Amino acid sequence: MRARQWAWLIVKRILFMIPILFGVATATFFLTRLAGGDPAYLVAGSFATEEVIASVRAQLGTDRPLGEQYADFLGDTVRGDLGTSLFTDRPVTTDLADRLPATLELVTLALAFALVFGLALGSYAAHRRGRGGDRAVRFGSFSALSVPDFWLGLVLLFVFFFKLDIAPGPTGQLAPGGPAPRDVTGAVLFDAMIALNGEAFRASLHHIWLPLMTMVLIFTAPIARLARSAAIESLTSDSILFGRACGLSNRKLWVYATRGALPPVVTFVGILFSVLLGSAVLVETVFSWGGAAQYAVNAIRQSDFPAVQGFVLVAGALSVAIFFVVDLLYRVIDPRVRL
Amino acid sequence: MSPPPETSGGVAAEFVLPRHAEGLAKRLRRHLNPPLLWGAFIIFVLALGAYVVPAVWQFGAEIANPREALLPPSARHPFGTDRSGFDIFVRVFHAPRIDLTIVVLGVGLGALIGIVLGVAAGFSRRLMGEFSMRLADIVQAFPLLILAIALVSLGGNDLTNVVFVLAFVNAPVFLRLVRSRVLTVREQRYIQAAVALGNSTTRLVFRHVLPNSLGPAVVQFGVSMGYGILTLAGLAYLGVGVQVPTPEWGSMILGGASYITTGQWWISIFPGIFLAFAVFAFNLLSEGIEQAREVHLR
Repeated sequence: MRARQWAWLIVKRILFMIPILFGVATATFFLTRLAGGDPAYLVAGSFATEEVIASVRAQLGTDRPLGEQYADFLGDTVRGDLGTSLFTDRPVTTDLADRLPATLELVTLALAFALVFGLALGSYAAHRRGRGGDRAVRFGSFSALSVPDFWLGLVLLFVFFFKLDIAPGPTGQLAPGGPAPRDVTGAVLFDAMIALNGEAFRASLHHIWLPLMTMVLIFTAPIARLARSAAIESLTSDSILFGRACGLSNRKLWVYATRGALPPVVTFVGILFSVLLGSAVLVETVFSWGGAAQYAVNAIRQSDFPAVQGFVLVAGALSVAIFFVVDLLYRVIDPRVRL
Repeated sequence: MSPPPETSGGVAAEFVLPRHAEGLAKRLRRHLNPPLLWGAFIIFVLALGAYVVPAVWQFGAEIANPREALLPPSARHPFGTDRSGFDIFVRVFHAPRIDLTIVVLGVGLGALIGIVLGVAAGFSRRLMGEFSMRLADIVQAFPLLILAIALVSLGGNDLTNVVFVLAFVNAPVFLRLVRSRVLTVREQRYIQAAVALGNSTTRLVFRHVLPNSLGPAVVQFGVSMGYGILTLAGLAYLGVGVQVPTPEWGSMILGGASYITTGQWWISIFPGIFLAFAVFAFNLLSEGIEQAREVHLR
């Protein structure tokens, strides 16, 4: 496909995204209002007097008509203003921008590893269909789907930190007072890498592997299951049969079958990213990761209404953006598809 | 000389019963399979244990004994005790009362709403269908757990809210499944025949379309139940929904989270094992139902 066609495709997809993002913003506004009734009560606490509640209401702007609030919310959101956090007293946008990279680093790495392991295990199982290896993969992935991620994190902490002492405690991305790279993005591993700070890089690797392993162990399972069934389908397809008839080696056929299993797996990655973002909320809490997800949890505990609303909106928008990327990737992997 | 089976000469034994009239036991047996049985068995044991164990055990589920706090597992406390001196063994068994009830109510309500809307959306393909689908799209654009956490915490931290939120996040899933089935089923020959025979729309929907569109939703119900339990426990782990002294798996794991790095592993580990087991059982059940459906379709 030529560059112009690609450009046109991307523009078309972006235009297509606008109404969805608009819907996401609208849903965020109305859901948070409908669920909460009046956030002023939540913010002011249960012992607040009427005057305090009225002043909080004025501060949040919830004393005005709903339509007006909605229009303001949309206008502010388009301008990148998600309100001011009641707890940190800084713009929610700034707070999230500081912390989101740490979350994205964890989620993206987890997804990448899970994808590699899942595809490998799935296509291996498909290849050994019905035999011991296949059964082990199937049973293992079926069981892993039932394990709560936050509990697995605690189990790993107990084993690798308390018992074996080869992992650090849940102190976040780095040990307090330890080597640290200059803060550029907030994703410490990435920052250490671009600063070529070997010491900080090793320290952050040391801190990331346990939360990463927690997520990878769980999210390899759904990918492996899907990859297995997709690879079986592709192994029994006519093209592979033809390849076999032509005398291609098993190894080569295996490569082709795995390649054929990619499109459904890539589509699934779009959905999985959003699940991983939810999972990050729990895993970050277990390891005190300090990313955007943990920020949201703290915001919930402190009834920080604008921060909660901002995080929900950003999480929704991120999922939509990932769908956009996945759509394009799908086009690369399977050129037959017309978007 | 025996009469031919066609003649109704009082030889009922000679009649070949139509397939749907064969004995219930026989029909059941044809559909049973190990995952289905194991799943149902584990759920049954968990539900039974939730009432039997607290009744016969020497410690109460909500009676703290500060003099016996943080004890490791022993004969007296098989799963140890937590920070307040609660006996973990009895609480772990007591937990399904909350966990299973809330999730059954929440996911059940969500399934009901989803099925009703799904049939409606499948039938009136035009405005209503489009509208509810776009709504489902937008709700599903949000990470499920994040939406659930935000809605429960903003809406007030009580259990009724958890039920509604579980229903809310699950309804779009069922809506989508049922709608796509209805769209296929309504084009089938037997539906045309039912229309031609003069069935009313109500009868058409309830007698012919609905029963033939529910299959995928039934399979999904097991998966949603399992994920619902994980969601409920995840919420409780963040302190949202179920609150700490209540015997619930997620909140018990939270109660032991800060002790895991000092070696008191039993407080969090045992509830987690039971939690995973319950989710596993529902996943098995769903797998079993799917296999049973394949028998049926054959």
